[in-house]
Amino acid sequence: MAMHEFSVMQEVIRVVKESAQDEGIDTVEKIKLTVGELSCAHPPALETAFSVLSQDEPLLQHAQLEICQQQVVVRCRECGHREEIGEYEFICRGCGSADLEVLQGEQLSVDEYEGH
Amino acid sequence: MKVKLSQDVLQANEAIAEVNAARLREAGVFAVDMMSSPGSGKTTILERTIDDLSDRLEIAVIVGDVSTTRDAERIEEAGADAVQINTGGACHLDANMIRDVLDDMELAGYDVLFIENIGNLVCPAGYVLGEAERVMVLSTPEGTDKPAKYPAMFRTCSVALLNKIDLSEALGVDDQEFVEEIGMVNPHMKVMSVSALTGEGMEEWYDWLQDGVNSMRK
Repeated sequence: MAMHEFSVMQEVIRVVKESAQDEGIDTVEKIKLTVGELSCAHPPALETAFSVLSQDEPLLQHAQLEICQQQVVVRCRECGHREEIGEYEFICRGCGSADLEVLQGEQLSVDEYEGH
Repeated sequence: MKVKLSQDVLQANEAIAEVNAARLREAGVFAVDMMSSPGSGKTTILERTIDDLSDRLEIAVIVGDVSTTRDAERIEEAGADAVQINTGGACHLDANMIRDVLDDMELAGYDVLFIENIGNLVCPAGYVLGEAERVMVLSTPEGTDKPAKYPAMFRTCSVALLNKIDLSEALGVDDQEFVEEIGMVNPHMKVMSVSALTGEGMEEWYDWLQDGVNSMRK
């Protein structure tokens, strides 16, 4: 499955490189990502992809990757109950309904980076 | 210096997918992204569908595989136009690959475009391609725990084809159990029980496809 995280990480690096060029930044120290549990990206595989892909990027020689994992939060369309759930449990603990709206947990984003 | 980006990583893919979708809509083509585990029977379902509907619908298939052109050859033998994409290792198709293929196709000649994705229940769920509908195939030998184990895939598709129901008895599984497990992850999913081998249940699938084609013609 690691191939998938490689293509995600390529896109992350592309976004950061583009911005760094605009900002006149030539050394990136930290990149912060948010990875939702439903985003289909696996943080350890993202880290592996980052360590391999950043080797070829002068901009990223000193860059650390910081991943903020995002829990799944849902709201029940039947009873309005709102809660954090485990990745595999799409059942409302309030009323037992499976008709849940995902409020959070699908995100896969580059939030910010630091550099000079 | 800190730079805020808040950039969705899949946004670049989604932007291309929107362009693909607009092209397909304009050409009146009903595009369906077919996703599943390897070996669930996607290609067999498509072969039978092409065979049964070729007198009323013009069908094309974009076939994604890591390697080989075996599936595209099967589709062409069944009587539809096929374009093979070999991803050379990548585990999903993305909108960019589809755009390149659409560039070389005479879209207006088709009613339906199936995009047979790489057999994988994880990453294809995250990459929209420009399809009008997402359909997944789950086959009875895979077991009833798949919806709970791969919720993202089951939640993103509007239809599940429960395939290989001709094997249910031999496997000692109850088709209804699959329907219930799917309902626990995505209660809005339409489940059609089929056997691409015997043809059982395929009429409902054909009716659904025809409805999709009709909606594109309006």
